[in-house]
Amino acid sequence: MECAEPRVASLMRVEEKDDLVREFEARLVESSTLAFRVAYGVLRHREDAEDVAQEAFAKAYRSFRQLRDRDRFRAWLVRMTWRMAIDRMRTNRRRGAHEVTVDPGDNNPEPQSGRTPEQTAEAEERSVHLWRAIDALPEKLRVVTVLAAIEGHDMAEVSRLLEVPEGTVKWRLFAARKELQEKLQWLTRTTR
Amino acid sequence: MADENHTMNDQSIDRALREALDVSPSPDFVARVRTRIANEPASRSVWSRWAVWTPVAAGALAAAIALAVWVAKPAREVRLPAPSVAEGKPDTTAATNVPRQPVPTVRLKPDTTIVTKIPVVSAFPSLALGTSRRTVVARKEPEILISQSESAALRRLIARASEAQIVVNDSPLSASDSGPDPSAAVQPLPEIQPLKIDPIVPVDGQEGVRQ
Repeated sequence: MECAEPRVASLMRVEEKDDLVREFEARLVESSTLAFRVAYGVLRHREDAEDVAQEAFAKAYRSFRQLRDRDRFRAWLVRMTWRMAIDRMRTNRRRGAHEVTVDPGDNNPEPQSGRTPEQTAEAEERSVHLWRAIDALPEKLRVVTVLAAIEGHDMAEVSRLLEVPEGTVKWRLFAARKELQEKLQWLTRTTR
Repeated sequence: MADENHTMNDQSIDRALREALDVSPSPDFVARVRTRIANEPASRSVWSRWAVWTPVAAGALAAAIALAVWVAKPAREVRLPAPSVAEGKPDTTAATNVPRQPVPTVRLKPDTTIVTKIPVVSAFPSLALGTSRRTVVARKEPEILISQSESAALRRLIARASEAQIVVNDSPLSASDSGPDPSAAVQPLPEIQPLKIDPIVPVDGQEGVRQ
């Protein structure tokens, strides 16, 4: 009888841990692409983005038990991944390991059909300008721009992920687009 | 037209961004995350961390207290037997109203050790009364050589000071007398005659001539 109590307690702990792992597994499957894209939106480097997303999941797993409201997991993960990606970008810049530039062929290795080489070069140049302009945005505007550009995200979803009112998201997105247009016009004029 | 261009610009920006972010992780990404998590140590609850750190903190605290007590312990303590007089309340009076106490013992041999009985002053009388013994700290003073006569004079001085019978006397030899010395009364000063100064008169010669 005396031995039974610790055994029951240990069995309960094992069951609890199994539940935790199962729940985390479900979150991992549904949020892996999101975490990767958020990291990629900052780093624009596939391997670095995967490293950061993996690190963010490991960190999330370590603290998953303390997360009371599990419905906020995605928002929590997005903010954590964003912060870690920014840190990684700064580290990369300090080390000079590789300049954070746009690699248009990174996500589309095959040239798009129906495009001439001139069109492809022009699209690449436009993309370079765009990302430079995005990098120059203030962080609050930048995160809204990136999250809104991820497929399937509307204002309400961005609002949930950042845990700010929807009106704030709209205003930030409007300000970001306006600033982007100004920067892009200036970049286009200076490069021609 | 300008509005149309503006809208087009917004749309082109959105399209470019969506295209740029339309990326997916490699197929083995989730599997690598799983492996990484499997290698992670199991996340502990807050209470389990407390369970580990509380005994460590308690042990450290006990060690710190023991060290503090050991450092604060005096170098040497001499316990004397309880005084014969009945102990009443502890002496907490001020210095102006000090009750009579035995004269401190002064041994005038070489290796003189002055044992001073320190009155016990306690802010907690109940605690002080609870102890049957008084702790007296014996301090070893440097060797002092005093002559027998000086020693006797000092004893008398201290004894009279305690009885408030000090009489200032101009004759050191009369210090051994107990009563006032009639010969030591103030004598009237003799009358002093006024000085008479004669003027200087030149002797046979003009003034200024060297004599």
